[in-house]
Order: sequence, then C-alpha cells, then structure tokens
Amino acid sequence: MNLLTVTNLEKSYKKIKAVKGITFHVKQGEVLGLLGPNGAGKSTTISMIATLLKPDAGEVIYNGTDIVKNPKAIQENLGYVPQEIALYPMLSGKENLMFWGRAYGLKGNTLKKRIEEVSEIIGIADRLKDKVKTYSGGMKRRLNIGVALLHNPELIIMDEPTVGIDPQSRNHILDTVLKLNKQGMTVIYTSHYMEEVEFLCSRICIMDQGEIIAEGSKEELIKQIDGARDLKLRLENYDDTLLAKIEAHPSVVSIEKSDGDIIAKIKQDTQIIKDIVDMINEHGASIMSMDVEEPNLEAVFLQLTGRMLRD
Amino acid sequence: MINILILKIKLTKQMLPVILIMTGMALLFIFIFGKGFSQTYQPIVSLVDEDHSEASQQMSERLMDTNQYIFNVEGLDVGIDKLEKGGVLMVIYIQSGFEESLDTEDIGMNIYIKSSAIEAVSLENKVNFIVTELANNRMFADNFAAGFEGSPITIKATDIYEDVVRLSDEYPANTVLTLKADNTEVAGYDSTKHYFAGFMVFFSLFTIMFGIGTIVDEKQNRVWARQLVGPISQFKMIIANLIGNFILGIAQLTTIVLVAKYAFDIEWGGSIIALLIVLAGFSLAGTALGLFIAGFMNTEQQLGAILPTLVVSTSMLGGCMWPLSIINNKVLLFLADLTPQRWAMQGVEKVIIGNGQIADVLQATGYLVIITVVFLALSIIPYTKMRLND
Ligand SMILES: Nc1ncnc2c1ncn2[C@@H]1O[C@H](COP(=O)(O)OP(=O)(O)OP(=O)(O)O)[C@@H](O)[C@H]1O
Ligand SMILES: [Mg+2]
Repeated sequence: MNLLTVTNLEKSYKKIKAVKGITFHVKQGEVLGLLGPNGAGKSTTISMIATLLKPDAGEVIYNGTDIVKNPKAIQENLGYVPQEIALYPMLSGKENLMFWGRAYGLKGNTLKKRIEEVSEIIGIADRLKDKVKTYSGGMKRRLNIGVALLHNPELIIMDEPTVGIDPQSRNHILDTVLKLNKQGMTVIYTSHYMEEVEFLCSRICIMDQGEIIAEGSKEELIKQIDGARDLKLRLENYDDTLLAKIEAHPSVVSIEKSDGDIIAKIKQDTQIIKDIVDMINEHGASIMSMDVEEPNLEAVFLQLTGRMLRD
Repeated sequence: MINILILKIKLTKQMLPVILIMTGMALLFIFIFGKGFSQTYQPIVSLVDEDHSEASQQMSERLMDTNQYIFNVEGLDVGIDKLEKGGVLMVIYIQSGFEESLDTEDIGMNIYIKSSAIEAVSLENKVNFIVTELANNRMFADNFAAGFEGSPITIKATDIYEDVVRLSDEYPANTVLTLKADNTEVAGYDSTKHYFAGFMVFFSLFTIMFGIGTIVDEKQNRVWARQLVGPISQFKMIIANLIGNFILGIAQLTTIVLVAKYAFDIEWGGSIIALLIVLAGFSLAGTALGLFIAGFMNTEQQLGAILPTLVVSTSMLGGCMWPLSIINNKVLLFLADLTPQRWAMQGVEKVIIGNGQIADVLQATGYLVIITVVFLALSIIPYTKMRLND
C-alpha cells in the first residue's frame, strides 16, 4: 500500500527551479532513500512533503488526503528531522524533548515515558539535564532526531541526519533507523552518502538537478546501468596496443590510465575477466595487481549524469 | 498554546540578567528624572492677601488644598524680598478690591515669578483656573438672582453664591485638576514632564521589543519552521507569542512603576491604575508591531540592526522626543497617529501631567488596541511568506 504519493511536484525559488516535476511514492513500512548531490532539490522536496513549503504545482497525497490543501492530515503523523539542527540551544535536552512532545499533544506520564524511551534510543539519557549548546555535534544530531520520534509518527522523514558527525554517532543513527523501521515506522531517508542509502534503503530514488533520474532497489539500479564496474589493473611490460586491444572487447566500456593504474569500465559478463587476462598473457605483459570493484550507486550516478555524487 | 507560554517563560529565564539590568536602568533614569517633579519636592510660595474678603479667603483655601506647594501667608514686601533671594518660587498677590474685580475683566491680583520653572507654570495655571471658577460662580449667582427680580420671592445673590461655592467644594479636588489638564496643554507646555513621559514610553517600547528577539532567535535556530511542521497552527503560535510577550512587558513596566512609586517616592500623577492600563495597551500594541517586524527578520543580526532605528524613529514620529503640537506637516501627523507611541504618550501624559483617571486614558488605550489588531492582521503577510532559509 502506498502511504505517500507525490505527483508532478514543482517548486522554484526566485531564479532557480529547484524541483522540476517529480513523481514517486512511498510504501507503508519501507525505507525509501532519496539520494542526490548537493543542490539536487532533496530538502526542497522534503519540505513540501512536510508542509513547510507550498508547491508551485503537483500533488502530495498522504493516506488518501491531499496535504497541500489539507496539511493537518500529515502533520500529526509525521516526524520531521530537518537537515539543520532545530533545537533550543539554551534549554536542556529534556526541556527540548518536553516542549516538542507537548507540541505534538503528549502529556503527563505518556510524555515522561516517551522521553525516557527516546533518550534511550538516541543514547543521550545521561546528558538530558545539560543545555543543548554544550552538546557535541553528534549529540545534537541525535537529539534532533529524537525530537521527531516522541509522538511515534507513522512516517519519519530524515534530511541528511548524519552530516558532519563522527563515525560512531553515524553508525548509531543508522542502526536506530533500522530499528525504528523494524518496529513498523515508514522512513524517507535523504542523503548524499551512497553507502548509507545502500545500507538502509529497500528502494532508492536518485535525484539530480530537480529531477528523479532513476528509481528502484539497489540491484535494479545497478542492472539499469548494465552492471558497469571498474576493473583496476597494475601491469608491467605493456604498451598502448594492449590497451587498445582490451578496449575493443565488446564488454569493455572504456579504459584509461591514472597514475600507474589502468582502469577499465566493464559490463556484467562472466567471461570478461578471463578474456582480459588472456589478452595480457598473449601480449607478454605481467599482472602486478588486479582488483574488481563491486558495482555501486556511485557508478550508477556517474553513468547517468557523467558526474560524481560528491566532488 | 500553554506549551509555548511555558517555553517562553523558560527562554525568558535565560535572559533574566539582561532583563534585570534593563529594568534597573529604567528605574535609575526614573529616579534621576523623577526628582524633578516628585511630590517630595514642595516649592514654597508667598501668598499675600490684602483683600481679606470672602473671595480672597476662597482663593487661599483652594490654593492650599493642593499639597504640592507650601504657602506662606505674609506681606508683599517680605514675599518680594524672598523671591529676589530665591527663597520662594512665586508671590501671589491678592490686591484689595479683588472680590469686586471678579465681576470685571481686570482681576485685582498679581503673580510675581523669577523663573519659568514647570512648578511655577503649573501653579500659575492653577491660579488662573481658580480665579475663573470664582468669577463664574459669582456671575452665575448674580444672573440667577436677577432672574427672580420683581417676583414675590426675594433671593439674594450672595446666598446663591454661597450655595454654589459649597456645592463646587463637594467635588473632589481631582475633578478640578482634570479639568485643568486640557488647560495645561493649551496654556503652558510642561517640558520636563513631557520628556519624562516620552522617556517612559520610549523605554517601555525597548522593553517590549526585547521579548520579540526570542521569535527571531527561533527562526534563526530553525525551531520556528519545525513548529510549523507540527500540528500547532501558525495563528496560535503568533497569539501565544503575543500573550507571552505582553505578560513579560506588563510585568516589567508594573515593576518599574511600583518600585519607582514606593521606593523612590515618584508621584505618578493621577491614577496609577490608569497609567498601568495605558502601558498595558502599549505593551499589546508594541508586541504586535514587534511581531510584524520579526516576521521579516531571519537573524538576530538583522533585528539588531533595524530595531534601534525603528524604535527611535517611530518614537520621534509618535511625539516622545518633542510635542506633536509643534508639527504642522499633515503627512507627519497622519503617520504619527499610526504609531503606538503617539497614543501611549497621550495616555501617559494625561496621567502624569494632567492627573488623569481611568476614564481619561480609555480613548488612548482604545487606539492602542486598534493598532494591535491592525498589526496582527498585517503579520499574516510576512508569516505566510515564510519559507526555509538555507
Ligand atoms: N531559500 C532558498 N532560496 C533560494 N534558492 C534556494 C533556497 N533553498 C534552496 N535553494 C536552491 O534550490 C536548489 C535545491 O536546493 P535543496 O536545498 O533542495 O537541495 P538539496 O538536495 O537538499 O542539497 P543539499 O544536499 O546541499 O542539502 C539549490 O540550487 C539551492 O541553491
Ligand atoms: Mg538538503
């Protein structure tokens, strides 16, 4: 069942067309990844779903209700983790949780219990009494997430929740997302780290320059680019005629030299490695090292846009 | 809504030191300023009565009713001598024939002053007022008696006069002073008190605007946007902020007024409740203005840059620095009417200069409430346009 359906959504800022008519859906109980480089329009898209921005055109249907016309339909059921930390720095962690919990209608014992549970989940229980401005970056990030969990939302939207933090906090956050999902929460997870999206998401939308350029599970996306992956070679006693010969192979997309290494882009083909090794032996060159990189979303993005996800 | 109010209290607690310093500064200013006209300072006035008539008696009693001055009844030479040496503020000389002169244009009375100190101007006004009143009473009695001339009933003008005097005496002294208030505005302009009122209003606005900073803070910390995503409506957020800031403002101003009164013996003129009513109206209007402005500001720095300019310029426009009566430009006067300060000044002056009561400040407070509603309605513009600011 689709919890959320986005159709032909558009949004422009004064000069920039940030979102150019995108369409996607989120199924109940899944973790949907929104992957894209800086400025792709991820935050803009999410802000429209979260009712913070009004779309210029298009529809956002949540549980059958158009939330552009009726924002209330999503507001109570949504946990929104903004990209920038949005907390009261002068208040303690607990005071922040109290305020946001009440803002979502929690009271008394329920609120108290939820604060305990959530601070356990995000792992800041021992620092609850301290002012947020004394927290480390990672702790602020985790509290930023915790605030959105208090009211047990049906859908949680996280906008790059791991930006600029240490690996430990990052792993903690990723584990938390999986745990929440297992408990039945639907998640939209935005990031420009492909590893995170690969690790978490059952389905991924790749966004670039305001458009969704590909969509599917990791495997589907990789299949889309014909399984292109990098074969890294280090050879001795070879010349360019060998490279030309390799490049001529039907399953080799391209070949290039970069400081001593030879990188060949190859398609999914069970024979290809053997063929290349044969050609090298025929030529009389020797293999110093050889490494096949697993195809990943980075490669997908590169293939689709000619650019890297991150520069 | 209550949640937001609790939050505001907590945020305010964080700013308590700054708030206390601001309140303390206001009190210090009031202490220095207020000495100038507080009741503890009672100027001495020489009262010379050479008429010894019923009217001159009335005159003296009326004057002495106002306990803002100490009256020495003495001879003219002594009085003038003291005045020369600066021993008295003024000599009021009731010449013989004063009573009869009340029926004429030329009143048999002289006032000698050396300086035009506010106390002197104010007393002069009072004297004029009493004289007018005495003259009117006599005229009324005479006309009344004349109406019965030739009828079988004999009525003596002096009897009626006594009745009139007795009746008008039964009115509380304040009623008389309030009547005088409008006189003052036309007759003499009391600059020190005006500055004091102006300062009060000007400073109050700073105090009120101070709380507005928390909204801009909330926008800067992105918590405002985060609240928007939640189930509280923006309207409720604005109203909660209005209430919170209003309470903060009125609490501060009440503290200032009461501490000034009881610790520094500052006399606030007429009714202190009336003063607080005006200031409450002003808190409300100032907060609404602040909310409107905060709608356009995204950072503390922006607010910091614009707020002092805005407060000072609208205060000038609203007549805190100089009286609006010296301005002829219609456009400026129209703009002045739109500022909360103009009406706050009117109300505060009514109380501290004109000894006004609650009824005297209702009009000004009414305008302040209207301004509040207008700015709240206008606030819809910036707040609906609000968007993410990355
Ligand atoms: N408030 C704004 N005013 C003007 N332009 C904006 C505004 N917010 C975003 N943009 C522009 O819209 C485009 C999309 O921005 P958006 O923040 O949605 O991207 P993003 O995918 O979230 O990027 P990032 O990974 O850096 O967060 C960018 O070109 C950005 O410069
Ligand atoms: Mg973003």
